[in-house]
Amino acid sequence: MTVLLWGVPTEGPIAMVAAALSRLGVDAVTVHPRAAGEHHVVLGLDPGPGGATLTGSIQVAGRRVALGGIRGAYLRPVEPELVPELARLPATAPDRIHARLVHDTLVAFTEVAGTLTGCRVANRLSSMASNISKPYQAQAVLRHGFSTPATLISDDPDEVLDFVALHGQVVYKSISGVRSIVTAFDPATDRSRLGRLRWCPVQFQEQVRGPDVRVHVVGEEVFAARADTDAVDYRYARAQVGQDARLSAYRLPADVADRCVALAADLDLPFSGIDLKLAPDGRVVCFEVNPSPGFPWYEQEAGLPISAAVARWLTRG
Amino acid sequence: MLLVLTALDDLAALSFVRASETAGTHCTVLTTEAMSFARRRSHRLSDDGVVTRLEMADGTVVSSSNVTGVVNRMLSPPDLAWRHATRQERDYASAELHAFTVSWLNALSCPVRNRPSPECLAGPVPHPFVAAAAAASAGLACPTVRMGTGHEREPARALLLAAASAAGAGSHIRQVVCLDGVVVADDAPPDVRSGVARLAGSLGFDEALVGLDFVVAEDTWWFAGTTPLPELRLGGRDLVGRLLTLLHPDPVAPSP
Repeated sequence: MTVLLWGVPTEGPIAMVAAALSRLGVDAVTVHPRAAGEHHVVLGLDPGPGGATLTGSIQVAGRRVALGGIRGAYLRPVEPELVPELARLPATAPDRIHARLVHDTLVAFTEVAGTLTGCRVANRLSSMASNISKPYQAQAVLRHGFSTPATLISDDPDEVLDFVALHGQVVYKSISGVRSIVTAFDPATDRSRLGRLRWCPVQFQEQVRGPDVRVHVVGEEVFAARADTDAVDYRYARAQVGQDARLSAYRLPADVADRCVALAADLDLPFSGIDLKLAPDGRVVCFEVNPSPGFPWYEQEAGLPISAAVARWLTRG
Repeated sequence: MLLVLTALDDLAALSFVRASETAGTHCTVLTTEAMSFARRRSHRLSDDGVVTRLEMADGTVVSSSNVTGVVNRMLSPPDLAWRHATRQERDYASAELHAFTVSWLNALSCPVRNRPSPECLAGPVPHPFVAAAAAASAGLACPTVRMGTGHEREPARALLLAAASAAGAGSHIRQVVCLDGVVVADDAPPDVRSGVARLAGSLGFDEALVGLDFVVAEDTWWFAGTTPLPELRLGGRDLVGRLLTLLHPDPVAPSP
């Protein structure tokens, strides 16, 4: 059995899953985006009477692996255009074209392999796309019985001020998957900037109080960590309030855990990081489902064996 | 309100509008260009649901409650107001407006053909290799496809070229229009039509308006890909009638 790791080998999540696979005695092949020039890959679909067969192989560091023999794949790829060595090159440079070919072929493989060979993929890039629109994803969140913060996306300053007046304390953040720091709306300083909304709506949300809980779902396993901090965005607590959030393992109520598993399955995300807030009024508010969670902080600080669970899931087929 | 969302130069969409008007059903046309300069955009979510209101520069108001159906042909987000911005700002605004549009159209309770997928505003876009594998399982003629280092780069093009190669000289391209899993007004052979219906089911096109491309040589139809932007004129009056029945509460059959 071979597992494909597609990402930067020194990056925490890839390194920890690689170590967990090693502890299981599982063979892993790592495709490093910065070494694409040394990789060669061919993917084939050969039709037959009962359907198509997947063929082809990938050659990494002189080793050739049949794609049909890869039983699991963990994806944290980097777009070739964002690789420092390639970003400097013109789009027509052979090295950049080669890297794009490797990337696109591995996308094709990871999209189709689950159907044709039973390869377990965490996660397919097409499934990760749900995170491209937070309010779109919130609609799935609502279907699974979670609460969603009262949200206004608007380009109308007066409507925003009415929303702030209604909810008292409000935060704003990006609508899309572009990473943004959740920031509290300050009427004293932000009011004069609202005219800038005119050409692009901005997302405002009621500020929900209570502890943050990050739930990592791996297949049907759930690992939850509670974050305690006074910061608006606990991920940036050091910048916002001068010290990091305190993480600790948290025991989720069984029904909430079940809903997290169902939500992740609905989004076709075998591995995900779900951001919850436990509101004082009893609501379990879900903000986002992260399709490529950076889990090492939670594993190390809260003692959650997430990488081992990912490794087990990848090799379960 | 029957809403048609389209780029200014989408002749197939404008043809549908003309046919609809001829049949007595008015369409409200919103172009990407017009939406780029909307006077006001508001999208609210809460535990009680989603409410959206768009006000156009010409006074047209589109709300969650006054739309009965949508023909969505948008391929690009309404980001033209940002075309002269720096690349970084333009890319950010474009992503935000894409995210807004995906959420708005997916939240509508009325029929929408097509609801955007996260990857494509125009609708479902299965990876070409996923589509090809499903087509083979559905019993359609599928070519052998290769991609990779040393091969064709772009998967959709790889599939099309493989189909053309399998079909050989003298072949031609045909598109079969499929609405909610039903092949519309086409003279494709029965085995192709039934294969398309099976393929539509396996790819989740149960509520979608899509085109399936084939390269045809003699009596073999080689599967060559899918598109969420079918050539609507291929569906003729049959497609117009089906869409009006689906998207308008008081449909009027198209006149001959």
